[in-house]
Amino acid sequence: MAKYRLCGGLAMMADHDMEMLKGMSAKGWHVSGLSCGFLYRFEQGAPRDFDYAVGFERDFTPEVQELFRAGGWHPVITGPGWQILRAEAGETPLFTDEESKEEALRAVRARTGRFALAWAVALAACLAAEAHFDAQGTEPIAAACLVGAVVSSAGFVFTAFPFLGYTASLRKLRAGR
Amino acid sequence: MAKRSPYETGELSDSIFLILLATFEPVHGYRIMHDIESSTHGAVKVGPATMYTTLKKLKAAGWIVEIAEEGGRILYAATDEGRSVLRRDFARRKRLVAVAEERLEEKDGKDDG
Repeated sequence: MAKYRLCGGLAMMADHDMEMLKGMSAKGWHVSGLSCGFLYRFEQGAPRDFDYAVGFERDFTPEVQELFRAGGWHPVITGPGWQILRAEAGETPLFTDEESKEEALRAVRARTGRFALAWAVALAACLAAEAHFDAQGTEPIAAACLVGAVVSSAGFVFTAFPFLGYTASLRKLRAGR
Repeated sequence: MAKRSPYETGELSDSIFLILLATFEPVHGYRIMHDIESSTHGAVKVGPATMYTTLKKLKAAGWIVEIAEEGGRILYAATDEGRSVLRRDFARRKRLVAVAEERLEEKDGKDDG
């Protein structure tokens, strides 16, 4: 039987989520994947003292994976441009200086921002096209544009919020210096 | 005003300094991590994400290049520019140490007197 917990969002609440995963592992529940995109799935095993961390490699190439594994960090869940990794407690942290962490956050923020901008442009174009075709009375095309607008708005939400989250995380990191 | 990056100023962080120094001989990322830890007797440890991010930035700055692939691992080596940057930062660090030594010796002398 599996257990599930809500994902707080890696952009906004990565530290909180990693602490939660560590706490679950200590109780013998180890994260094994994401369900529905927002629920951590846990499988039962022996209680372990694991540390968890988030990586933001755009290309999680075999070379990067090997480097991470050599440092004791093993990928548990990977997504587009992000990875949740696990190591035995006490292993050298994934990031050992703030400059590199800031650099990684800045890169993922820029990537997410570009996607959010592209979705915003697509959304505006779909809405403008829908209004145009609706005024002309070509309802099937207007309906297709509306569907496009709904898809674009979902894309925008799922990139704009992470963008804001990464921005907040960067500010917090800089303010902590 | 936003803080300028070490890749712009040439004033290297300890991690960047040690990683760039390690690439004076062709070397791959894992070896650098291991060498830094052993040569500093564990005083400095570089995490894998810090290592990879730094290697990418050093490459983008033109301070190191990929020279070959060995068993699936990329070998990195410092460029002439990278070597110059490191030597300049080494000189800067030596100046800081010299100033600190002078001041601390003065202070120790006064305390003893």
